[in-house]
Amino acid sequence: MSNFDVRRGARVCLCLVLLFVLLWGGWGLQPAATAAPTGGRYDESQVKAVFVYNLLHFVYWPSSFGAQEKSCRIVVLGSLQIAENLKVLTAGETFRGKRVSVELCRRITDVGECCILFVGSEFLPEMSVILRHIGNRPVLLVGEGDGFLSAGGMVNFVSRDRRVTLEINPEAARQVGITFNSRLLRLARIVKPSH
Amino acid sequence: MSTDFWKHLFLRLLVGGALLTLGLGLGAGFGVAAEPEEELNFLKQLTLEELVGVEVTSVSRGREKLSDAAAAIYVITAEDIRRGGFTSIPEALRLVPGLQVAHINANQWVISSRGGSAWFSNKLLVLMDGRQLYSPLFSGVYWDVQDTMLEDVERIEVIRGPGAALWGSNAVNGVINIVTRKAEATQGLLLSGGAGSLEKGFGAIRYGGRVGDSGWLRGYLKYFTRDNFDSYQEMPNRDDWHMARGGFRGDWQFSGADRFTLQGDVYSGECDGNVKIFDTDLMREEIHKNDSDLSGGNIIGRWHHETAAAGNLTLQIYYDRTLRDMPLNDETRDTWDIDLQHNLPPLGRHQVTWGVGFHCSHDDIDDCPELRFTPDSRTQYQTSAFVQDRISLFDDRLVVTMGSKFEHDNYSGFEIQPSLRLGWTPVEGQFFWASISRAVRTPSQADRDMSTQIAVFPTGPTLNNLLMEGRNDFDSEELLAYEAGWRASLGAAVAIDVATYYNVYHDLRCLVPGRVEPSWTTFPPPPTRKVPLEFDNRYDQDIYGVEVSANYVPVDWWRLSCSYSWIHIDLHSHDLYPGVDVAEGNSPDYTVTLRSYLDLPANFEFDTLFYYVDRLDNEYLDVSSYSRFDVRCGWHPRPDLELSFKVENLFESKHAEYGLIDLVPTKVPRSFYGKVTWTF
Repeated sequence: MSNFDVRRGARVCLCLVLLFVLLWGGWGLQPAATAAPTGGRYDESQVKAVFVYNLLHFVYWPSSFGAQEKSCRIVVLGSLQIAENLKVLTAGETFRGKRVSVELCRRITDVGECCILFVGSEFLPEMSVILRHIGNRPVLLVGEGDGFLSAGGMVNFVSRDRRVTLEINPEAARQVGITFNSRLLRLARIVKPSH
Repeated sequence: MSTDFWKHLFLRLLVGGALLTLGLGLGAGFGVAAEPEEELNFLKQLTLEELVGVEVTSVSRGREKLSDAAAAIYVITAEDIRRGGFTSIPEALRLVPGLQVAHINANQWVISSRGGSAWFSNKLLVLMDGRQLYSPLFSGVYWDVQDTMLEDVERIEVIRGPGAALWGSNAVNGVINIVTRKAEATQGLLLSGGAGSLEKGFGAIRYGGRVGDSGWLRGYLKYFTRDNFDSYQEMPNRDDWHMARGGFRGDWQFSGADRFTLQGDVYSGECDGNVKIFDTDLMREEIHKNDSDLSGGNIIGRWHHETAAAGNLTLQIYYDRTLRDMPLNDETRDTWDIDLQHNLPPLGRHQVTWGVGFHCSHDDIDDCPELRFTPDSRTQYQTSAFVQDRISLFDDRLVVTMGSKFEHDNYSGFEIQPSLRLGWTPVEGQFFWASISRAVRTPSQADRDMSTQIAVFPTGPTLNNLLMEGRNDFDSEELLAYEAGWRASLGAAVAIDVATYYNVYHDLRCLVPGRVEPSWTTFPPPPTRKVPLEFDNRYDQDIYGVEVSANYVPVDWWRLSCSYSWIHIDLHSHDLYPGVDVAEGNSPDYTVTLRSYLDLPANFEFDTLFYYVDRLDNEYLDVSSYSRFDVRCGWHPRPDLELSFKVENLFESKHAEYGLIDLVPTKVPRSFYGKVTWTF
């Protein structure tokens, strides 16, 4: 046993225990309420997931795209929370008469046919591999983080002043035949390719 | 005004602040959390325009972002390593404010955080990809063998101040965490090589490829040979060194939630050097060669499992072997370690992380009369557990993190190392933090088992054999640290980080006269007696200081950084002999660094680094202040090719960075090298 000052140690421990009890008991584990969740703040991943869900209705894919597919797939690369939220949002939903399915992938090679690919921030350094894998298929590339658009992304979520804002690179999308609803474009910061 | 006064004032302010926060929290009441599904369904009904206006809480609740951590954190990025033109990990650490990095000779460094510097700075924990690099023999890091392919380093995270609540004992003054890239981020072939004045030649090759559908693998080989530094006070300067190293890393991402990593390295090399020791045959201090053959290897397996229901679970197992063949002592060490860490899914406002670990280290020491270890072989077992709770309050504006490490070691006993941290974000871009923590430095074998000859002197017909000896009851050294800091973005172009600390140390190592034992040997004559100086925990010390760093990006092709650190060391118990690691004046009072990264047309880069380090001055060390100016030019004629040229110490022919301890120091000369890197 080390000869550390028992009194000082006890005091520090007591303070910690007290604080712990107060924080746990007082606030932490309040039961879920029935009140409508208005006026509060939401988890960032929830808001992003709702944006991704809305993109289905404000983005136009080439009419021939995905004609053979049975479902409209949204693939989330890496981000577990976004995928879980999207699964809740799209449960039972259809898009152009097809069932909407959400899948979480951890590998770029698992990303098959899809209409939206959400690139989690941890995959940002591998955008070149992702772009090579997608080729010129009309897949809407959605991401989060600085440098996503300059790396070839199309829609980027930027957190600014405790709000999620949108950045769109319409040129990158146009090259594969994807266009955006003007209402969506009005809300977003438009990023033009630098070269 | 006495330091006690300030200490108490600081403590009271901190405790007062914590209580005030508690009171405010209880008084104000908190919003009631709703079910996630209900929240999502509500958000789903909003129009796009409404959605843009919704306020959100901070990013992932799972893993804390570094910029939100209530601690003095500095991150050296891969870009910093490349543009600094660093050829070794210790040199890159010079960028960190509050970290003292000094060459003793060409292959040995003094690296310490917030004071306590010595050849083996014993209060700094260093990890590479989760593997502890801290050696329990002298309680320090053998920096001469800590290396990897620098192009594969993703970042180096440096925490100044205690990290013991998570990492355990010896993370007293800081934690350095070297993180390499995932194998999938280093695909393809990379060739690099170069030569210069000190860097006589270096080269590296790395290849990364795929293994099946789900795996990536890379392997590397590197070699360098470095020249002697300049001699210090006419003493010999044989300190050239060379080392070869190879390694691999494989990452497998299995479907869904599982990820597996296997990585390892082997190395072998030779470091030359000189030590000043008391020669019992010649009866005087002599300079001896201390040429070392160093080799070793390690292998790490890591499994990571992540699901929404279970959170993140990481299991890591590693084995490390270190062989040091030196004239004074040979060390063979085997280390096994198993660690489990679990980030629970968020529970209300709580984010709980817990973990358990087992660490075993076995060594065999082959010693000589001048430096002896008794016993010469030891096995240390350490079991540990930690728990941490991160509580988000006021919509994440206030984050309270509390936790503790609990450790038991068959060598040093039981230790509790708690910490309490508060982080407060009053407005976006402004972050204040404060913390209180306890950390210990557990005894090393040198503290308990070592016996080393300092001198032999006669009194009458008897010879006195002056020894420095470890003591079996040497105990842990203790720190109680009070820290506070501020980080802010001032507009888009300026970021600033200020950290202050008040460290109160107890039971630090010092030397006390031991019992004189007559007639240690009486035959052959003359009679000799043992006059020992023994290690004891009788030293108290306060260290306080400030560290400031700032980044300024005036235009997107020019980045400027600067840092300043100031430290004050206050000793108590002046009547005792302190060890060199606690002496006043063994850390520079202040250090300044300035950095500029300039992107020029035609893919040229022009980078400059300036360091000013104040003098070291005490009974052991006498080192003048020095300025160092480094310049690097880089050119990318093609995207996959980089040519660079670097000059170190442009305006000074040579300077000493550390004084004479046991190891004979040398002076850092002006040097240059050129380098080519090709990726395809």
